[in-house]
Amino acid sequence: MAALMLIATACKKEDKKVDYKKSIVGEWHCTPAEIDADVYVSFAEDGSFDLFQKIGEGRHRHYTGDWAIEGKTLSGHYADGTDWGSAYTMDFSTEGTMVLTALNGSEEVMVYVKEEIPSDIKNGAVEVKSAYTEDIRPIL
Amino acid sequence: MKRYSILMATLMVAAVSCVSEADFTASETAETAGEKALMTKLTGNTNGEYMEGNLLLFLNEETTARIENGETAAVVAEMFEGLEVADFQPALLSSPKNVELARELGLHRWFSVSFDKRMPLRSFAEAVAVRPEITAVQYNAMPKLASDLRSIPFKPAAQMSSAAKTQAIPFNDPMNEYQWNLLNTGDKAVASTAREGGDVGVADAWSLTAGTPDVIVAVIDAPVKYTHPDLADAMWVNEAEKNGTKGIDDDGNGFIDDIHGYNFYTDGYSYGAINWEVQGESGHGTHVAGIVAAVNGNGIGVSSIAGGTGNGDGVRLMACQVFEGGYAGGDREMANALTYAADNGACIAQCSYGYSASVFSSDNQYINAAPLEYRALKYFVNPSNCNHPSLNENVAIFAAGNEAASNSDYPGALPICVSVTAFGPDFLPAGYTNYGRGCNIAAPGGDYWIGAAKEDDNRSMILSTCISEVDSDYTWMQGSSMACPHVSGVAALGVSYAGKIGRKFGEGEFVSLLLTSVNDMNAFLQDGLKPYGDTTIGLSTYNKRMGTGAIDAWKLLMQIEGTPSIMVQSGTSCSVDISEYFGESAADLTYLEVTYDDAAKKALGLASKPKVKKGILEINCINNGSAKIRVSAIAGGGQLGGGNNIGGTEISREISIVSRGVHSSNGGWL
Repeated sequence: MAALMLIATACKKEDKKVDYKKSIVGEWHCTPAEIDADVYVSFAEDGSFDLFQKIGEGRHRHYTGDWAIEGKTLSGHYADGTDWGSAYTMDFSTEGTMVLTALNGSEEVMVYVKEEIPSDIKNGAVEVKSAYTEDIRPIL
Repeated sequence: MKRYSILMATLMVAAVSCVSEADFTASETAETAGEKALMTKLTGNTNGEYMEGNLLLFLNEETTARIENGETAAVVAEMFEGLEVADFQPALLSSPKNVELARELGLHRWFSVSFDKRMPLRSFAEAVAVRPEITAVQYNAMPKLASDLRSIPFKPAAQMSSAAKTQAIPFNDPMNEYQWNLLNTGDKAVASTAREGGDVGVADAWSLTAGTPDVIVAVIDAPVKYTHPDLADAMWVNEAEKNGTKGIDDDGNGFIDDIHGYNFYTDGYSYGAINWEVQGESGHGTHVAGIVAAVNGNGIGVSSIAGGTGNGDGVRLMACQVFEGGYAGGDREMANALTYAADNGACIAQCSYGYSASVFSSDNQYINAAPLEYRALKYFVNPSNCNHPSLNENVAIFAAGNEAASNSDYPGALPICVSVTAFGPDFLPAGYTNYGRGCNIAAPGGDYWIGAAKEDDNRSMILSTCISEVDSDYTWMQGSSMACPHVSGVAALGVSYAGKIGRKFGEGEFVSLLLTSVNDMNAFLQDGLKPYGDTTIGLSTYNKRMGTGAIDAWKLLMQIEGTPSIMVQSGTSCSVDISEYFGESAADLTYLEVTYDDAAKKALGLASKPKVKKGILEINCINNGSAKIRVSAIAGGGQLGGGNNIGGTEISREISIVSRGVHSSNGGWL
């Protein structure tokens, strides 16, 4: 019982300490072990994001949109108006790491590491038409 | 050369249709019982034009063996007793390199007999058809070029002053500002209805490749002027012949002095030597060649799709002449060109010719009427003859034809060929183009009738290399003949890029990628009219009938790099767009089936068989995991070609499915 109380107290303490809106800003990299995926996402202070994802073959695809945080819940939608597949709870308890847990019932957990997005990925990505209104090709 | 009427040709067919199934059909070559049965009745092209003084004969195995054993004189004496024969020889000018395949296809049993042209063909055919050694008699049918052959010289002084400069063609070829087909900015000086982006989508692709010299495109056409200043450095070079002795077959390939290719037109003035100085020559082959690979970045003339960057690095053109001075070669000439191309390194056959759409109404009719050319085509595309390490098989690309008909010309309509329709700078079908059944993909072909100024300004047509001896070094032409080399050029770029990045394709994979690397045209083909001569055409007629869409070089290179997996949400039924796999017109394709193996079923936990409707994959995965499924569709029309149909080509794509807990309908990760 004492241990449980300690955990609960610690969590409350962390909630108070973490500024989620500030912590999320930056560039993140996700390489899940169970899926052939390479995902970079940049969250900007102004509430916009740039997502560069490579799922399977081909080059990275570039999505844009905006994000919002309420409490410790992150949500957002793409520039074409499509909602994200889920909202997420955020966890920054490990330095340089962001853990997003899906709130759509799947409880999928993805770990993101703070890492600069390589310029070749930024410049070489294919703009996704459905998420950007126009089919813009990369400058190579 | 005199040409017979359609009626006359039909009468002659009736006279010689006395072949037996057992004799004619090499059983090992027949693919289906239907094909086998039809081939037994084969007597030649019943509706088209054919050569006089010449017949193609299919001999039985026994007689063929006697000839191969040196008994030709005796055989000729027996078979043609009482007839005057000028020449008798194998239909193929040289024994194909792939002997096993050639024999399997029966190519060794075809012979050509020539006789006095004053002797009625019918009489000669009747006389030889009764001989037991002869299993079939075929008229040496002649296709035609898929262009109106209107060739209008480029006049730089008049036209270069007013044109809007295109912005993104990275080569210093001065005339490329008039090549809307490469980069269409929607310039109203080209046509008042010009549509930005209505081009071949190559400008961005050049940043990845502009071709590689190991890709050889055989231009089976009128002569290619290999000394043209914009083509000379793009020509395939047979080094052994170039450095050898004139008049000697230095490389032993059966053809003498074939430095850049060969002239297969046996009935002409200059058999063997490629000749563009014959009266009546149109420059068609040279024009077509320039669209594929005129040298880029050399500071002169035009740019091209796969002409390199000015550093000798473009694809190579092999000149296979089968037309001369406006006259067409026959099945024999086409067959020789195709086997030569296969045997000498070409991986793409660029063929802007065909039999008019009204001549054949099914694959079987064509196969029955042009068996030698058909089997040579099969020889060219057989995997055992593949001429590029990235490909599984060579690719044959044909023009759809210019009769404004609702089906493709043959042989392009065959499923083993790609048939190309034509659009203008307005990104709408050109009034002349064939469309519908058997047509696979669209490309820029030019449209004289929508030009901003029709009298002196022809920039709504296609500008390319031509023949100064006949007309000018650069001319405007139009036709599905001009559309076809756009697809050949893009295909050549694709093969070049695949080689560069080490991609190797499986069976049929490259053509599937080619035919799904397209932009949608159907959105512009719902209603409305456009000019065509003194009349108009209704655009809705062409809706879903221009093939899979308009070819896009960039999209092909992206697909060659690899197509991303499709993400679906586990535990729920998902509907996902598969246009990244099947092109922008995916919603308008006819889908055949979805297949997968047991391992994929288990990995994804497929609750039911996935389906595709209107370009949307409906799939329900129970498990988190990933696996591949295969989706097949028809490229061009609602039914497959083959047998008694004219129809599309089957294409199939392997789609990687990733099933996870989160899914966004636009495929985004978050």
